[in-house]
Amino acid sequence: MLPKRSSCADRGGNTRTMRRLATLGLLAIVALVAGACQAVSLRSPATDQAILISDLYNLVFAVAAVVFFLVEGLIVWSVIRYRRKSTDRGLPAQTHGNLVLEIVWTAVPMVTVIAIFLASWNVLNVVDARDESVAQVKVEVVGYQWAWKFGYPDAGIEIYGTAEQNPQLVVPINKVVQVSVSSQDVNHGFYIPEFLFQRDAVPGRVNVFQFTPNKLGVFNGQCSAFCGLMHHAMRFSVKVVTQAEYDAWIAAGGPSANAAGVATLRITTTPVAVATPAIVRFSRITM
Amino acid sequence: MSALTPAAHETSHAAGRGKKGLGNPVLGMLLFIVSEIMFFAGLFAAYFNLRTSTGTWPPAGNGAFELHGEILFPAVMTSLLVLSSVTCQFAVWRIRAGDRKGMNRALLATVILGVIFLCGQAYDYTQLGFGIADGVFGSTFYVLTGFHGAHVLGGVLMLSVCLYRGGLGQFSAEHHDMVEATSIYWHFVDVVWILLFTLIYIV
Amino acid sequence: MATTALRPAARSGTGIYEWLTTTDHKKIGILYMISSFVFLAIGGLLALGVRAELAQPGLQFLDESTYNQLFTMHATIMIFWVIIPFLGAIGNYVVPLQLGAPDMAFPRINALSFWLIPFAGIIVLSGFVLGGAADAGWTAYPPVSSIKYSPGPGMNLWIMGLILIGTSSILGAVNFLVTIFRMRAPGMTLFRMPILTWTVLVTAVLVLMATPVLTSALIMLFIDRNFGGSFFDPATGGSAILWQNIFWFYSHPAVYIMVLPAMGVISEILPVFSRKPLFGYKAFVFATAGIGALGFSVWAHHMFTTGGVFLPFFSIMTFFIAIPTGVKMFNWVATMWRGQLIFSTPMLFAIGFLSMFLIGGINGVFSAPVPVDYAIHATYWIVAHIHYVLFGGSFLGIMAGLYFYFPKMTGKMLDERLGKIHFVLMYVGLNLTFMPMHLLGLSGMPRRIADYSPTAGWNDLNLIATIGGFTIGASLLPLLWNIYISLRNGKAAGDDPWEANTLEWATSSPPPAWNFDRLPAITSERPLFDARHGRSGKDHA
Repeated sequence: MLPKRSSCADRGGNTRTMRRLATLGLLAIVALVAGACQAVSLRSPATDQAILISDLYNLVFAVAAVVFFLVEGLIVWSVIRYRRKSTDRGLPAQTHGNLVLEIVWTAVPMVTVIAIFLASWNVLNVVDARDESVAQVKVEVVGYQWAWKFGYPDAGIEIYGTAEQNPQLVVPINKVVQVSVSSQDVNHGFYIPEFLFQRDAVPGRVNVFQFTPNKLGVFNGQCSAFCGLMHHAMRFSVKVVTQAEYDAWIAAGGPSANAAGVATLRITTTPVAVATPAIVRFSRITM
Repeated sequence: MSALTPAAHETSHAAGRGKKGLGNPVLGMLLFIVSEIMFFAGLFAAYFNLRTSTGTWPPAGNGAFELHGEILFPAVMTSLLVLSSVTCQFAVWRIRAGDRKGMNRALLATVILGVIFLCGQAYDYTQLGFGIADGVFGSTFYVLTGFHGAHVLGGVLMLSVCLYRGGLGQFSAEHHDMVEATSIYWHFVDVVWILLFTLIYIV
Repeated sequence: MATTALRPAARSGTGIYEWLTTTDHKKIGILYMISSFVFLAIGGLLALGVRAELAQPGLQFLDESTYNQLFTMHATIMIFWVIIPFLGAIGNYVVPLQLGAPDMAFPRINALSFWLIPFAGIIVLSGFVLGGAADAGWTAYPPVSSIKYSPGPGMNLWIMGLILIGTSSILGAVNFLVTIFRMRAPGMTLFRMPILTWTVLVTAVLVLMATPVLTSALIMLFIDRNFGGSFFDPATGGSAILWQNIFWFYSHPAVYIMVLPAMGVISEILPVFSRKPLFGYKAFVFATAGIGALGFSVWAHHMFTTGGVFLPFFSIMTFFIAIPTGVKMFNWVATMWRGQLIFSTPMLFAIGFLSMFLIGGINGVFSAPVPVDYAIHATYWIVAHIHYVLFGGSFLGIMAGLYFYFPKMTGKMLDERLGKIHFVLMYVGLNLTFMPMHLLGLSGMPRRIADYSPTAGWNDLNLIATIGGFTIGASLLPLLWNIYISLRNGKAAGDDPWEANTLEWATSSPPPAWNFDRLPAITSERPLFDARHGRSGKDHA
């Protein structure tokens, strides 16, 4: 018996099933495509490094989209084209495999991922570059439950955030900023979505990275590594200003004492995290 | 419906009985030892990681950490444990030859040596000048030797069961999977100790 | 439970006592399944608590402490008490049958493996009534999980429960391996084994080699917490990164532990309902083994942002592990290609698995290029990824297996119409829940936060995700109703309702305690197909 495949549409009882399946498939496709198309890109990059990361992301996304539509397309096509029909007699061809095909669909993904890896390696070498000599501004970031300390060792400025007042890091535009990030209690994550970057603050080690902001403005950041009770409240921001503004800010000794209550201290005692849920609730109400 | 036409294979063949090769308990024990190796690998990985990141080893500041000078007592204990592995293997060889009495004697010797090792380890713990809370050295030392000791204890219990069943005459040249499995476990525990002894007292 | 309806044929063995003391792999498999459903209800309610809180900014229902317990316990329960035991249920029930064996190699150890699960589950959950369950995330990174920052009893109970369930897994793995190596029916060579059994074999190897490493880490954490140890405490010379290395050495293979048997289930279902053999059987076996082997060399891709791992190696290995997974995806599609597809509920879930697991594979590749990982790590992108893998992949696979094997387990067919309602609701619900999480991640929403700024632009997406979450919850109601009415008056299944290929369908439904009266000749991986079509191990034209 040869497998027969009907070339015309089904008649009778199968039409209903088919229509139901088509609706179902359509629903799935719409949901998938709608979702996939929206998820186009990361936040618009605000540092030189972030531009590279964004480009790399777009490359990966393009490849991913091709794979996604290819494979989902094959699945949907199979579902529509190869459903069992009332005219089917006997078994379909019992194909056990195809060596050439299998080698191709192993080799092509292999080449593709190696290519993406090489591209990502190039970007990584820039993003992870840590040449001390090119650093123009050095800041120290310390995470603690549940706020941040930003220090400018060269200017002797230290900014302690509290739960009520998120601290703000001020950096000049188009300058290489070197951040050394550490923690004094648990793991935290120094994460700024617009910089497309995060680095963990791990107790017992100092992580160093550099970035070069290329957009003026205030960029919100937030702790990305779960750090206990008030993890969600551990926010901060980075303000990118012109060099002149930055110089004036440094000369004034950082944020002025009356500027919304940010504590500016020139002492080096270890800060004690005083955040309690009650205080944070209060701050949320006043926000 | 299915056009199933069963060929005449009786299920007794499917039970896996009468197959050549390792018995189920012996294979099960070998596989279980794979998991034990990975368990100790986790502890050893922590040990190596902490040892290299600490810089000087043993860490400075506590004279009690200097174990290299006190190698004599643990060396004696080590040789007793190695000896017990020999007696254990001897028990296996005896029962393979059908000698129940010889196996029981060898098992008894193994159990006694194992118990002496455990007592020796307990005594050694009382003589050490540091505890589990004394930094990474204390933590790694007690966790590694302690879990090894727990495995020795487990091995002694298994050997005791073998001895008990051997006394009842439940093993023969054909049926002694438990003795085989237990001996494999005992050799494994022995090998772990030799690694530990080398790391802690020599290297 | 519904024991009387489950085994109408075997009246002698239906008492509660019989079920509590059984060593029959089929009854133990059903016990695994019942326990998994109970924990699914618990884990699901925990998830709904999380989603309800996140529907809007602000804290409406929970405080931070409760929220942290909920998401920690949701992950813990779903991974260790739902997905792994669900797959254990299918493996326990089906593998000895597929091998033509009368039972597992060590039936009493099998019973022990099962009973450790509810026991350990009660231990971890008891934290809720003993002053707070574990709340350090399921990854329990020290120092957050240390005694100083997590002083409650929850963490200790969590550690104890996980050690116990790990022991259960290890014993189960030994049992499966000995059964597979020693108890195959005559004629069943390794390369004639059904593909589900192959995936269980590789999974058991992963469990055997990875789970004890987790146990060692848990013991060190326990000693740190309770006996002043300093393994993970940087203040006394320990290393916080060390935990992450050891933990992920287990927990990355754990992802494959959770997905490989589901892949096996799919690989049984797709050929049956396409009326074709699995395309590239051997390639599939090697891809499974390849995933298992590579699974041990990618753990540090969870730690790219710590600054403490060798990036290029783990990056390229993570890329490579996508290849065997891709091979499988193509194999599945090629299996359907030019087949005669029958859309019964198991097949719908299997196709659901293909379409969703594909997303889980693709969005995971984004973490392999390190710089992209810097941007998306620890955001909701990762939450989306893991749920497309574990829900869209593993769980849909489990549901496919449930609909596929229910007739064998009970002798009754599940209702097709309710099954399709269940599928559509669950499929829509899961996309509604997890697709928006990609966008949340891209716009910078970190995971594990109880609250978010109302001005961050995350409100609508979170609301959609919450609606989706409750849709998933609702989708389980037709399933439970289906099981209930089908057990009472479902259509009789017969031995082989699906015209399937493997030995479990060669015996009655449900099978007798000894499984088989006689076995067909085994000359290929599809002995029943050969018997039905009168050709032994040869292709049809």
